[in-house]
Amino acid sequence: MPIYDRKMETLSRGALEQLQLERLQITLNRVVRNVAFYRQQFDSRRIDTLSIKSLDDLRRLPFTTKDDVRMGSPYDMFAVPLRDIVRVQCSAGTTGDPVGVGYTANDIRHWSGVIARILAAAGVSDQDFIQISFPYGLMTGGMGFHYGAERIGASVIPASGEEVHRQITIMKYFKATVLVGRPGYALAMARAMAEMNLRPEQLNLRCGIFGSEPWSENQRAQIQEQLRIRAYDSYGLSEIMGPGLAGECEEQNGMHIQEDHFIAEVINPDTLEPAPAGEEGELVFTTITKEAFPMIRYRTGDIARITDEPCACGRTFRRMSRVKDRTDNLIFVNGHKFFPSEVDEIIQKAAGLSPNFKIVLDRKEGAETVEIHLEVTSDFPQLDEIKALERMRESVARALVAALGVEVAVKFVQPASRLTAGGKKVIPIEDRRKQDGQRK
Amino acid sequence: MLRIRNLDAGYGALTVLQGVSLHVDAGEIVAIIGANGAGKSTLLRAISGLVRPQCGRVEFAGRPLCGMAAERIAGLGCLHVPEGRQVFAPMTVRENLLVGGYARPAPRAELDERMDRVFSFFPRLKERRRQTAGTLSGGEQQMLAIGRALMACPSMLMMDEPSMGLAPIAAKSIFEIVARLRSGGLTVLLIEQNARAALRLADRGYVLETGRILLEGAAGDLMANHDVQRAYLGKDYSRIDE
Repeated sequence: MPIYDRKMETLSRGALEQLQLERLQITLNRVVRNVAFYRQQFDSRRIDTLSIKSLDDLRRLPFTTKDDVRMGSPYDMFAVPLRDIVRVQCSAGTTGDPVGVGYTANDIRHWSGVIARILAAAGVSDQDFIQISFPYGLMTGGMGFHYGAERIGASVIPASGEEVHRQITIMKYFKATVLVGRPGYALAMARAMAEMNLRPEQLNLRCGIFGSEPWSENQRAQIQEQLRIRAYDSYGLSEIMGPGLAGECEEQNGMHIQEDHFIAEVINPDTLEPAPAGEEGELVFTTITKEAFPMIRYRTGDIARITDEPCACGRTFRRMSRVKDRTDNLIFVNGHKFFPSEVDEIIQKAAGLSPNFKIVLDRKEGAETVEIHLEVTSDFPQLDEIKALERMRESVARALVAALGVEVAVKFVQPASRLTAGGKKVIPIEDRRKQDGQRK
Repeated sequence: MLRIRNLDAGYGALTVLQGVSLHVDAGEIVAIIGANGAGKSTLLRAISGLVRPQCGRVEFAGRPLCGMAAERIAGLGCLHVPEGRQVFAPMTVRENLLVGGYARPAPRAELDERMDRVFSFFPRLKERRRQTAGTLSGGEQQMLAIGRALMACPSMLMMDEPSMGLAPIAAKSIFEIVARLRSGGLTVLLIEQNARAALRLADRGYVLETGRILLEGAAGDLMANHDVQRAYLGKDYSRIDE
């Protein structure tokens, strides 16, 4: 598939590192002049930005956290006068209050450019009708993809967060070829299509670019199978820019990080030291071209790996793995630790479907217990036979115990929540181990 | 083609450039814009060996230049067309060009060949080849300064304010010449106070302010940047008054 920005996306490592160093130094020169927060951060640690002479020196700079950004919200982190801002957006409130971010005209242009690259990497061209099912508005998903899709000349269907049946009707009506949105939403569409007696062959859809929530290879397989499309992963976060930080190419084997605009690091979230090359850790991003809202070493809370192994597509940008989870969701039980998304993946494998569930952590007679409250819905094929249901419950429990190494009880419960277009699939965790009733 | 990392340079105890990193790819026109005293000329002089860098690394075509004598750097194909032209006024156009050839010595026949190429590029210089350089107009002198550099078969030209002191029409023709040089395969590092003309011509640019680089980007991005517009393109006066 064509490489949208061949010069940049296939830059030699040496040339890229030269460019990154130049842009990093420029960003530092600018934030020290224009952002009081960074001036204080560096001054209080007696860091002269002129002493940052290599990309490795970046490690000597302090991290920026979501709390820092929230404290400076809305405008203290801006590095340009407000009259130079042409757009504001908000970061999604996965945790806590929304946080405002801003863009200059050049920022919007660069953002569109990186989105255009990742769309092209998934094979999208000016021949495509691209349906964007991220909500438009303050969240960056809709507007971000919209501008990038226009940049490559695709025909954009700004379906935004339409109700899922209507979304399908629109898709059929305009003969959309590309779907952009959340992976969970794609699966909801697949279910709705079944209800509508619509087969995937009756649509023109051929690929999808998904993001904004953690998903699994399992879900990818389901989406590809149920919608008869190729499903690509993408990554982004609003504090850094929005979607478009990284995206998969036709190899579907890791997302190329747009390294001419961002420097990515992987750290051990406990020691804050760099993780060994290729190993899992928390992603940390530094923007090197952002004018309005530069970020130095922003801790994303996202757990992933980065590989510098060459990719068959010819792009030289390093690739990140899918986001395994968030640093703040790690569950510790009886000395074992696991992520909610791992539970999700195991349940999907064992049950053959993707039900909503809650993780309940408790303590009985000194030992910590894990209960999975699985929501039974009408799309369970085993619903009609109690024995089949019981078998499924047992196989899910067995799979969880085997994979997580802790005792897990599985209970069926009434559905409590419903997926919506705007929301994300959340895995609620109820931690009854804490006496003050605080939830983890 | 050119890669600079963390360059400090200045005069004696005075450091003009601080931590400058930049690069020029083969075939590019890169413009450095900045106010008087920002360090633009010092940068070119540090690259071409007229000023010894205090620290940092300069690489040209993969070879480190720091500490190398100016004539050896010119011999590698990195040629400096200095500010104010600096032609040898009492010498003829032909003699000036021959002096340029010495940076890359060659048998007489080859020097003649190079001169023919310069003359075909600048027919005006051919017409005036027997005139002394001092009698040329400003625009013609600038052509001669460029022609003199071309005599050394450069792969990169570093031009310091080529439009300075020229009538607008002469300045325009100099910029056209720069564009033609690039289409002929030359790489150009251009310093200009006329930021608008330089960015129109260039692929990329850097903004140098008080010895540090504050912006880098595609020429179009720089022209769209409000700081550049306010400081160098003379736009937004009313905004500054606010």
